[in-house]
Amino acid sequence: VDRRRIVRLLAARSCCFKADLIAAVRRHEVFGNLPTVLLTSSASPGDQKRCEELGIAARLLKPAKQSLLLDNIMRVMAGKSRARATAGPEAATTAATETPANGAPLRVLLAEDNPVNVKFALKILERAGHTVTHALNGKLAVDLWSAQPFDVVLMDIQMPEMDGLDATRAIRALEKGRDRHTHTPIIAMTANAMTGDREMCIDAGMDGYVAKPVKKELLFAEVGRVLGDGVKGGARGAVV
Amino acid sequence: VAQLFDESELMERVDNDLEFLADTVQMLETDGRALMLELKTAVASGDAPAVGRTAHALKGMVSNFCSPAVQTLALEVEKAGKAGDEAGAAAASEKLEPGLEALVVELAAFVRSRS
Repeated sequence: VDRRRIVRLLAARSCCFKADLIAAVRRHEVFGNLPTVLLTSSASPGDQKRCEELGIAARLLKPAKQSLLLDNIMRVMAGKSRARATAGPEAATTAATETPANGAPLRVLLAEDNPVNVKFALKILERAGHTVTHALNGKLAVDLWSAQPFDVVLMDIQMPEMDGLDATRAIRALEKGRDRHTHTPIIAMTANAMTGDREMCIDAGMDGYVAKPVKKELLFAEVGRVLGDGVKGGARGAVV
Repeated sequence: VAQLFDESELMERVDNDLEFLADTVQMLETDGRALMLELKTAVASGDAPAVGRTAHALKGMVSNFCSPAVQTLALEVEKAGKAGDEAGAAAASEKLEPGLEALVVELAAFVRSRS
């Protein structure tokens, strides 16, 4: 059996999250360890954990770019269990492939609705080795924050359904309700240039502020500042 | 004729990744034009808050392409929308539309010239 053909077959047939199909494949005596790449049209909180449980080596949002798909298949076939994923129109998790040489990788929640802004932010963060989970709006960001831990949140202000200010207030309220004290640093990302915007963000419970277009040096400096520590790509002196 | 965007700054911003730039220019072409259409609809219907929001989104998107001129045009629409100035928003959006189109055309041509 040509294992690579099997991988292609599974990827093509997984038009949605087919956990039962993959679980059945896993139980098969021949295909139990079959490298699997999942192509999916949507993502939601908990998908990453389910993928890990099912031994899915990479998860890509459709439409996946040909080069990205090939890259992931090559990585998976080379035996690397974690692979790159791409940003899509809905929430998605990307796992960095590079082991950071300097500084710990961060779990970053990126709340941003504009696809171009998402693409630029992912490029900056992934290159620095950070793991990024993307939320398309404030409500999704709150849901994702509730479902898994993050080191820092990068929050757009103007988003559909729930804006970044309300999402921040919701997260801060949820933090207060938890048994143990937690505080996830939240940094505003905004194209606003109006007087008082920074104060408005801080009043909502945010810890920092970067202006759009997001520039990597300024972003990592601000992330380092709110974490009170250097971070990969920024204050520890690493170059993105 | 001066370029609408700063070529060297843009290439530095994308780490000289032409494929990435081509992808994002394509996104600007589709999503930026869609936002412009949304903006024109908001202007025509006199929905000043929607004008402000949409112009703000366009401004953020355009800002990635190192074009302060077009970014400023979007800012003017945003300011007018947020101030409830319908006539000002209409006038500013009439300048923004050709500016955005010209930027898209210039960026696409730049990508082609480098490919």
